[in-house]
Amino acid sequence: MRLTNIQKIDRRIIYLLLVVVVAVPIIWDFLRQPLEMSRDVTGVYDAVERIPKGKIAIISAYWSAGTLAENRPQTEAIMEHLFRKDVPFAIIPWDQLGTTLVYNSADKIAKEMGKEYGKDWISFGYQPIVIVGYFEQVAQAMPLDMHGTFKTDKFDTPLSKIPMMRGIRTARDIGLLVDVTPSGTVQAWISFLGQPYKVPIAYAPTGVMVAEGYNYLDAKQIVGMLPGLIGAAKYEMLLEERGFALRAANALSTSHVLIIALIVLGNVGYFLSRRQRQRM
Amino acid sequence: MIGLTQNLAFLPFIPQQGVSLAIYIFGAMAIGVIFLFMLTKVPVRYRKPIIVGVTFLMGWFYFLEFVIPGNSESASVRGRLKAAEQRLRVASHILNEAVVRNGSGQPAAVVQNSHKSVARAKEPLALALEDLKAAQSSIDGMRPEVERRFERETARLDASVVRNRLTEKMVERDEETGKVLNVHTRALKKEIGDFEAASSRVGTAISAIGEAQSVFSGAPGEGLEKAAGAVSGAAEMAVDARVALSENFLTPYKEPIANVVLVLGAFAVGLGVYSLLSIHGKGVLNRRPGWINGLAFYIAFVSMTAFGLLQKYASADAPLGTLSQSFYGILFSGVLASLQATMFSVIAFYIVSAAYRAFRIKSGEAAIMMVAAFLVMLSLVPFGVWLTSWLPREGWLAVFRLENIGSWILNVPNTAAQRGMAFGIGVGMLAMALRIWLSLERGSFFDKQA
Repeated sequence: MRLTNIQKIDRRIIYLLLVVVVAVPIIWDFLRQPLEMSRDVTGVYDAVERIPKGKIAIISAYWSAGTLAENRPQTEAIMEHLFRKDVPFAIIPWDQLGTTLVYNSADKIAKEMGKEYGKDWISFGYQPIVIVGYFEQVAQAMPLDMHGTFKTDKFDTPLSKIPMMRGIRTARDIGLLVDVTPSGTVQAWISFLGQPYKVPIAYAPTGVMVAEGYNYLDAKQIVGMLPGLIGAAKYEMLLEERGFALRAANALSTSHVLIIALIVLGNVGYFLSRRQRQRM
Repeated sequence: MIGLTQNLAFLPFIPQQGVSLAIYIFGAMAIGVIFLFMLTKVPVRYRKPIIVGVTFLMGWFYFLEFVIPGNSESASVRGRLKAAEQRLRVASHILNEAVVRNGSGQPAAVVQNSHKSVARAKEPLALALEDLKAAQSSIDGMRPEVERRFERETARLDASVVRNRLTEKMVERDEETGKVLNVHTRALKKEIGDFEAASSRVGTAISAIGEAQSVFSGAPGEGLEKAAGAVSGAAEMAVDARVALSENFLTPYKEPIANVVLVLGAFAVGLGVYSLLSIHGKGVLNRRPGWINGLAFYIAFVSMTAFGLLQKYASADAPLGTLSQSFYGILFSGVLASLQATMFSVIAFYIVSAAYRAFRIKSGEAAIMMVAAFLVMLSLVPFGVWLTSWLPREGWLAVFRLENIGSWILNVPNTAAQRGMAFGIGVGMLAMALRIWLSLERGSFFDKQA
């Protein structure tokens, strides 16, 4: 085999390699590599710690099965922290499929930690973000009147009859909003909730959205950020709880190394073939 | 369309449940379809002026609602609150100057001669207190009139309920008071709520000033940061109270108009569903290439809709309810969630393959991009941290640790570039919005219509 062919590896081999480097560290959790804590993640942790008594947290969850691998560990880590701190939280699910997925996550953790629906947490039920302008209208109306905006929870119970929501009406009653999303929804939260009412906002985007998040972090428009799966893994470290994100972080390591190795191989092959052409 | 009719003032009662609600929904849908049909019959030359006119009017509504000051009754109160807020900010600034803060912004000590600062802060505080008390008195004076109007309107509606022999199912009542609600009473109720909120905020601000003043009578310098915090909080409360009273005559119509926008958005969803059904339906009927996919779409659409509705409305104890719940679970979690996750996972394979085949260093810029990408990719994962973990955490060598390099790239060059792009996009969007609003835009839609 000529060395220049290293830029022409069969794609099926690449796919197989990727499957192996992702699956092996997740199935056999043998790697124990260090993770360095970063200020963006501790910012979220500290914001949860600082939520005053009597205020609730809001989890805006605009994710679905497509980004479940990143957004679910983020959501679950934050939920667990809120439960530990006895901070009640309300979920705003924006995706049809995600509504059930987020509810199931909260339900599972609540059962494990002996928390009760309606007293420690609630879900406002599916909010159809697909309708143009709906998200912006909710983001504007919610800080003024939560009961008027959502009216009922997931099970059609009026908010006024839910113990957790008694006395909780406006932005003044929100101690933190966590936006878990693969999209750019955080801008609207900053504009309609963070800046006008000074409600702390934490951002939990997928990996591809992270670069944009540093703007808001630098401008202190958000208090912290969980950058993708690694953010969730770091949060699990802070909670001293080895969950899916910490296992998957190793898979991320191996897959990143594979991509880098493949790009280097591709370029080596490219330079060798170019040199050969120049000699001819 | 339901949202549209809900906002019509001449339709005071919206059925809440039962057959009357079903009739109302289907009636509204029928009106909606007729409305859409009529729109399709509008001559082509009139379509553009209609779109432009509606866009222009909507834009003007929001613009005017934003710029027109609140009603004249509350104008003097807002003026008082604005003056109080400014005086409180001055006092807060003077008191904060007397508190030395550490690096993280926490109060560390009180500067010497703090009594001078206290003396300077006392005057604006006293004036602010005067303003707030006057504002509260005015707010409490205005509220009974609105309450009387609310009572009158709800009494009129009650009489109307009896006169028209309307059942409870057709009437919406306020959860707390049991009063009948329609567009007018809802707006009046909100106004009363705003007065309550404003009065309560002003009351909190007055208490906060009292708290600050009690600190001044203690030992010099003691509790100064607490006093500064209380005064700052009082200023925020004054702002909140002012915001609660800032409604003008257009504000009550914001919600109905927002509902209209939502209804129009919902039409787009319905149109999408109709389009899918139409395209795949024609494909299946005419046995076009790939018709089997169209059939799969129809089976998925019908089964998901049917089982979704049945699992919600069929009795959970009945065999049909149990069956539909099981099937819905299989379709939802077993098929839909798995398919969606699979679709996104496949992207990873394409990204790796594409990066390997296409990412070639053919220029200096490509080389810089590749180096930056490698550094950021490695800095984010545990392997990268491990690679340079032998370097010290402190001192000048620490900057060469991969996580620090990655963090610098993301925080400095990336942020600068992102902001540049954000400004560009923002200006572009503003220009585009203005072009559409002022009907200067010549897009493909209008060109086709012309």
